[in-house]
Amino acid sequence: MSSHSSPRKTPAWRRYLSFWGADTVADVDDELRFHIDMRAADYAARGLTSDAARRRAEQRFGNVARARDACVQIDRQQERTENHMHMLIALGQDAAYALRVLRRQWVPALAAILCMAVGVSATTAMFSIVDTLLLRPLPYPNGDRLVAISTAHAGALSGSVSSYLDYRDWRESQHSFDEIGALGQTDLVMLRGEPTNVSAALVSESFFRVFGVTPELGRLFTNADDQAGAAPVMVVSDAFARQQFGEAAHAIGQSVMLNGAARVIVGVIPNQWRYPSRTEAWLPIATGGYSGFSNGVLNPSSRGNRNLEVFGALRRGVTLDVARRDLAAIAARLQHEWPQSNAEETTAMMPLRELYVGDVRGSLYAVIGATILVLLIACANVAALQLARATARTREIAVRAAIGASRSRIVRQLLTESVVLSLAGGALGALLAVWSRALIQRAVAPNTPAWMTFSIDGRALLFALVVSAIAGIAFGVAPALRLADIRAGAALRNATVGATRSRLQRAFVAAEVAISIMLVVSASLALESVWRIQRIPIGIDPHDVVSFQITMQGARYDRPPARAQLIADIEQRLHALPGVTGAGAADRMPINGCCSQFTARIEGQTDDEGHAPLITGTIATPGYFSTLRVHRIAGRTFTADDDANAPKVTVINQTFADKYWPNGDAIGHHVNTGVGDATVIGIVQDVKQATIFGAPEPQFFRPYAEDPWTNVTFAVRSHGDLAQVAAAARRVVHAVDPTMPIFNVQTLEAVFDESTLTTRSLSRLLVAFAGIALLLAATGLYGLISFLVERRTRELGLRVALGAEPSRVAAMVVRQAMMLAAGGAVIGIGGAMLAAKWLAATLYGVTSREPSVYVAAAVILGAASLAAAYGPARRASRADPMDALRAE
Amino acid sequence: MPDANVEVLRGTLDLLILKAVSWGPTHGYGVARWIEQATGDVLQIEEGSLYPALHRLQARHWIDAEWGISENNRRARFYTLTAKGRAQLRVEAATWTRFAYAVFAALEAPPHPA
Repeated sequence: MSSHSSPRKTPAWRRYLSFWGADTVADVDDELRFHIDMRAADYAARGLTSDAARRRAEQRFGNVARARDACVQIDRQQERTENHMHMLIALGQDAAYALRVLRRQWVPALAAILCMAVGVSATTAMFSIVDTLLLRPLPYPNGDRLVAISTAHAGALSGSVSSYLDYRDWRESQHSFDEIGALGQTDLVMLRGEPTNVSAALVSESFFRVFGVTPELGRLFTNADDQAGAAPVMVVSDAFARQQFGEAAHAIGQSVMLNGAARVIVGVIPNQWRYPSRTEAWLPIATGGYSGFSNGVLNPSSRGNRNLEVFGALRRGVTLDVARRDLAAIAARLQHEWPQSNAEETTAMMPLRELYVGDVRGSLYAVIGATILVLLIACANVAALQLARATARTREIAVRAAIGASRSRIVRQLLTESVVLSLAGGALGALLAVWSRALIQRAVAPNTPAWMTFSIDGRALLFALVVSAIAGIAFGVAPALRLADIRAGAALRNATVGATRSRLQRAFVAAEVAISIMLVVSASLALESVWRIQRIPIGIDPHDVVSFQITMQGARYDRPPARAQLIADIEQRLHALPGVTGAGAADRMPINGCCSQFTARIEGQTDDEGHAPLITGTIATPGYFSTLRVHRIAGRTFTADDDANAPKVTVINQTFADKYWPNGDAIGHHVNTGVGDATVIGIVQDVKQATIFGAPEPQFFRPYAEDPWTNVTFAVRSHGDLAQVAAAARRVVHAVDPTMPIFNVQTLEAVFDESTLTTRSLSRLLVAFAGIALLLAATGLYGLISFLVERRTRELGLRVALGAEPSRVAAMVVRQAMMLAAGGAVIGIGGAMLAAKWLAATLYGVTSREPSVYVAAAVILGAASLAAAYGPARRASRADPMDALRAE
Repeated sequence: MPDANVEVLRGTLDLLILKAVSWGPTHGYGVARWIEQATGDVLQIEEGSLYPALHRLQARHWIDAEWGISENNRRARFYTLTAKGRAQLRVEAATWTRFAYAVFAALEAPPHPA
């Protein structure tokens, strides 16, 4: 009986797990052929001719095909049933081994885990935000097909508001929507004890059906509720019901005094379905005091009265384009039927999501990009660390190869290690994500509605898991393949293997440097943008000013002179407060969202194509200009004498004056903004009204006393404590009218800060990312240089022994590090220029060609590289030839 | 061969295979030859069922298989007894021996006392 041991010790089942699989059929064929050949050879040895011997052998064997099929079937079955199990066992073994290895070298392992954690936490936090903003349907039953419909004036999307009559015509004629509804936001005053301000919405009866909202208690509106003269009802949020009545169920049937009239609560809706998200009460348009109704009757002339938001739920299967064409056709018909109000009005439509994502898309993409770069850099660092660790592992791997571990087995082992590393990092990163999410959200979406809840939920955790697993594999493959090439005996050829390995490592480190440069440049640009924003001339001095809003309600304010008197009275009393240097009022303060716009007929201007320009108008008291320190350029501003009985006057801003009276003779000319000709009496510098960004637009001011609105915002300037000033102001108002609600108390500085919040947060985030990237790149560089120095210990030692100045040896090492950093920097600056070009579109006032930014980034990187190279260089300069020799 | 004996014979074949590979790594032909020689060519196993039996035993982890180089320098599949297979061999051999003795005893027994 002769038998030979196989040179390979791998059990057969492991062969089936090899990367390339096994050919079961060919193996069985081989085995059976071997048998028949051997039998034939035996017969031949006993004297048969080779043909006869073979025939005899085949005869003796019987049905080869059947035996073969039986064997193949058994083998396949075995493969199937055992593959998974053995895969798991092998994986478990690999993982256990990986953990042992990592524990033995815990410092680099910990470094790699931390790198990964940083990358994964940023990516996961980003994912939770992207998931909510872009991926998930809105949290309404009809969330996936909600669209916002708006009226476009003269082709330009001037605002998203539409008129009630247009809305009704759209609704009757459209074929693309299951339902469309209209909404107007308003503030109401509720009297239940203290007068309080209630965020309310006037909605069409169809509104809740558009969103698919069902009541939690009671009912929603019916067609009968939304008729002029119907009994006044309202629907409230669960939060409001609980706050006011203790329990939601107690709210139903309650009568509440709103703006001086009783109104019955008929339904309660769940908080998560509120729209707009901070709304507490919804009233039918027809009974809610909507301006299109006068004395309870719909005013047919109100078609030009555009102040409602319109929403629709697309019919299933209808695309946005089809719906757009549908409404465009209706708008075209209305243009003909109502030329007075609709001559240039068309419709525009976008998914509701766009209302929230549109504004933040730029910074969202910037942060997504930065996050991916941080993840990449973390991965590159882990890969570089893996390679560096290889120095210590060359012998181990060579031994494993020598005792028979196949290449694929070693690759798998090393891959398992990097996956274990990145999963550990990923787990830590998921924990960190909870914290970094808040940071990122402030930069990306500070003003998203409450219903957009960003949370690190199951999806985000799954994402973290998948990202870290993929990162572990993707960035583990190259080092693993490289390392696995160390075969038996390779330990002796260490030098050559080391050379190829360090080349790969250099590539990783150079990539880290490149990515860091991109992030540093992006962060610098964001900082530059913040710097520029802080210096935008806004036309007012927002420091030391507190503002608050009041609403007049009740019969005593029905007459305009009563309103004018009240505001003049309050303004005077505020002015008399100790420490107050100025008090004024307007319909709204600057930088506070857009504005009222008026069709203006300007003296000396011929109306092009029959339409007059829309110009932003502000109603202001005499104290407004001095309190906000709006600089007067020419003429005068308002006085207490500019009231309803005086000749109509107006103050215009510089842009207005320059645009229509380029010769500088604006004063004395006339502007008609719908209330008759007003004489231009003064020119003031431009004030940023809607937002601080963008070019200044023409704006006019009219005296409050001439057209006293019921909603007024006061501004009070004081050198004292603004909180105390606000409290004093509240006492002043309540001394005049104890039922007057005061709300939106805030400093103008806070308003200003809020408008720059996104950019400031974005820059903070990018700076944080750039810092992390720098740290990671420096770590990578440090690891690489240490590794290179260690490998050259003998050579460096010899140099020192042969008389080389230690400082020159150190310089050599530093030069090597700097060359590498420079290589990465060149690539990085190229990438940074691309990133900057794109950021320039997102960030205010940033140009992509600011050489100082690139120079600064290169200097920062150079300094980091120097710091990273310092330690290894010092060690190299102290290389002792005797140590070097002993080290071998 | 009558069908009734197949089960017994298959069990027997498994036992013989385990015994054959217990001496060291052996290829299929080696197993067949060993059985022929060891039984003085009395038991000529059906070769068509030898290989499925080998693969089945391997699937049960009683034997391991690996490719190696045969005595005439050809690639051949070698089977070795696993620890599990060795235990199985001990059990089955004991059972078979008891069975055989029982049969022998019956065959050698005096006539039935009537």
